[in-house]
Amino acid sequence: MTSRTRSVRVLVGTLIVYALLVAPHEGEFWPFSIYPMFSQGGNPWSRAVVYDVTDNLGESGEPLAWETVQDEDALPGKPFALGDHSIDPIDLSNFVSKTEIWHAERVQGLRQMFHDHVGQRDLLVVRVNGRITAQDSVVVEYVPYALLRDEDTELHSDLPTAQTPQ
Amino acid sequence: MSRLQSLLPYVTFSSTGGWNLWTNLFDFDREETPGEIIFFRLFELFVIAGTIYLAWSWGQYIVRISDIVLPLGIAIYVNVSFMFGNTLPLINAGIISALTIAGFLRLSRYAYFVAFLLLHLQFVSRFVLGEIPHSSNVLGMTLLGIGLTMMFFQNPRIRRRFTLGFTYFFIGLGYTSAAFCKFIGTGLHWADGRHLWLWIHEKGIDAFALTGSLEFNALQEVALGSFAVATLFLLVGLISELFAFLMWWRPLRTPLVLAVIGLHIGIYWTMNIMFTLTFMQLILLALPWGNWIDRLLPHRAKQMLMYGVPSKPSRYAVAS
Repeated sequence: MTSRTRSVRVLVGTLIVYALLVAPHEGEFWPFSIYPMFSQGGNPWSRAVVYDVTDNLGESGEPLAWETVQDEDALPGKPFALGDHSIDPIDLSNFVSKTEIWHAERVQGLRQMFHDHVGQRDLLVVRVNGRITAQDSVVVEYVPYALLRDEDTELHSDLPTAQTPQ
Repeated sequence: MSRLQSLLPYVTFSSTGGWNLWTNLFDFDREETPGEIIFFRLFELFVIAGTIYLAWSWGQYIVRISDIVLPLGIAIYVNVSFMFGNTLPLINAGIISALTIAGFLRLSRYAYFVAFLLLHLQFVSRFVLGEIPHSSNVLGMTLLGIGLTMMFFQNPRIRRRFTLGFTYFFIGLGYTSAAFCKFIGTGLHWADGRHLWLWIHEKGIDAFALTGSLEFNALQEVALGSFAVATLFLLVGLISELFAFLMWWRPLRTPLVLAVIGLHIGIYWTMNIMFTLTFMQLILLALPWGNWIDRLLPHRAKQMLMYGVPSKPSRYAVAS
């Protein structure tokens, strides 16, 4: 077999494997991908940010207002820069937006992301939703999702919770 | 030969044997220069360094993970939670590192491919929290290419040519695929400036989460202030992706890869996203580094690299 024949076979073979792996896996099987990033223009998005609200909670542990706001300045506390603490914001965003049931294991997983910090400060995880309005402007909404405290985690009352699945 | 003349082989058709795809991708019959040999070893070192960096950076993050939100790759079929809560990710990173070095030293023809498989395990263990990143795909495909090369080919020149041709093929395919995804996912109106507005805000929030500061740079402000400018940005990027497959043909390789590099610069300026390893690899693949190394090498060094003997002529007549 000549080198050229073998090279064609190896490359085409890889291409076939590529197609067979990405087709049944929604276009993704690392490192094979159809690269669908930013393919859906105009779709609403969801992200997450974190606020340090340690100084905003009363000594009695009064609950914060769980209101959705459109101005980040209206949120309590001060921004908690994830980069300073080696926490990947994309991981947090996906964790928050793709979690359907906030059972005990999922809540523990969220706390585990901040394991070095929940004992030292109170952190408010905020889901951020963006969309284009009918008037062709972009609106961004901040939705408080979870308050991580040393002793417990308080979730927004609208989040579905359940017992740990068997 | 002037610098401009050294670039001519990349833009003229006569030196490449026409439009034949396999000749343009692999060109096994073309003479190899010492500069190309040296460039390939440097390129290989880059792939190794990138692989080791990914293996260890992912490994250090895996030790902080305790739950699976969205399994990817082999993790769809194999529960990778055995990688959590212990030092296995770091051990795996060590094994990957050792295998890539073994591959570089040609101690085993299977070393690179096994390193690739273990890197896949490292990837799917790291990215179980919902994110599906693409910053390492190009390097991963290149590592696979080197792995397949070492297993299926013996001749060093064939190995070098196949690895690079394989890499160009799948890079071009990937970017063109991205363009088609946009047409399928949104339609011909994908390049609508309002879409860029939405993405700029999204990436602004990502930067806000990372740094604690929410602000836009000058280019983002310009795009946000003008529908036409935002649309133009998207249109240029889309065209660069759509025609990226033309890098398969050698005369078009440099301009197309440079266009893709420009695409990444634009993505960085407008959306704060930079695929650093991919960007660096594209710079290595865009420019005629082999030619430039040839110009720097002393003649004696070239002779020794190609033939393994000094170029000093014999005092005796040499049979032709």
